Amino acid sequence: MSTLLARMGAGFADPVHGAQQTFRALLGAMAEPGRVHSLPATATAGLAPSDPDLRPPLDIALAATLLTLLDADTPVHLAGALDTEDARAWLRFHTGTRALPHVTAMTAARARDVDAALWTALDLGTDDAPQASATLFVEVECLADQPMDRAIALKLRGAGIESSRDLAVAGLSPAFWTWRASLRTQLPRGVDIVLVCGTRIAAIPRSTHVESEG
Amino acid sequence: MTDTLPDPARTPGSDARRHWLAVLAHAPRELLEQHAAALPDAAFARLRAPEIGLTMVRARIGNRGDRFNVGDATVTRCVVRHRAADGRVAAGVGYVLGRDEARAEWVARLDALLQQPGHHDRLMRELVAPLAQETTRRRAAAAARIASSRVSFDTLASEIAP
Repeated sequence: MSTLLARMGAGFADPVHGAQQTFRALLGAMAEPGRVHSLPATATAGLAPSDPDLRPPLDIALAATLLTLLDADTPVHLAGALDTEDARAWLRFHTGTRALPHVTAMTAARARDVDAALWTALDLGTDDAPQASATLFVEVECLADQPMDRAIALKLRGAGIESSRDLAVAGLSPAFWTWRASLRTQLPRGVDIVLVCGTRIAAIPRSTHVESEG
Repeated sequence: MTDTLPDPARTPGSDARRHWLAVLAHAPRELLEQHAAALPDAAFARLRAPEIGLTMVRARIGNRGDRFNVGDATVTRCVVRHRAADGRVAAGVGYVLGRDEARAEWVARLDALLQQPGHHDRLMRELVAPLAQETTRRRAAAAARIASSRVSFDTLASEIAP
């Protein structure tokens, strides 16, 4: 126990305000689908310490998001490469959460680990209780509001967007976006997606219509 | 990183640690401050900044029967990491009753130092042993003061079946 604790990474420098500011950014991201929000430096203070031994086992935006949303009553599933002993111990120490071995309502993955086996396991909720659905957090390789090399260009429409909004995402396969488009017929069932990259976040809630332009 | 961690076989046992944590948690504030406030900040990193919370105190009457909830008590806790000059790393935890954040951090820092072989013996000798004696002395004095007004109900049978 003590040995594990001795190599524990740091959390928010200011847990209350860090979580509040990150939550505010997530609210903004959900309200404006596809708009890329940067987490304020005051929120992520402490997550990029100069001492390499104190560095959290997750990237800044994903670390801040999970610290904000998880607690003892909210288990998480870390998929693929994210699922390390350090990451599980770190989340448990700072939030009290448990990491589950199977896909659950809060599921986080790196883009390259998002495959059909993962997304077909996500719970879409029911027509009576659509809020019981899963939220998928994906750490992508690149996230921008204008076209980028190697990134898939998306055009988003729907609630929270006046006409349309462009979003470029690198790392997720075209098959993922085909699957996401197929959920359109299932509303109000669906999956809310939060994309993170470095210190930036963008959200694609279930109500957003996504066209990938290849 | 792993090679700088203390060898579990050489770190003091958990019973010993439980003892010094109990002693530190009950230590008078001014004595803790004397030993901990002057420690160099640079060697320590906060893993969990001091935070105040509640814990449920539970008890049994006469040490028998079911436990019941006495009430909430405020507790302050803190976790720090200490890096010694030789690169050894130890994490110390501090839990103290009340809302004194500095005190929880002092306990955590001293706990981390007590796990470092280079500091362990000196701190046990200069801090923990005298503090334990002082706590024992204060408890004995309080017990003696209370004992003078003790009423014994030896002739009455206990209401709760054994």
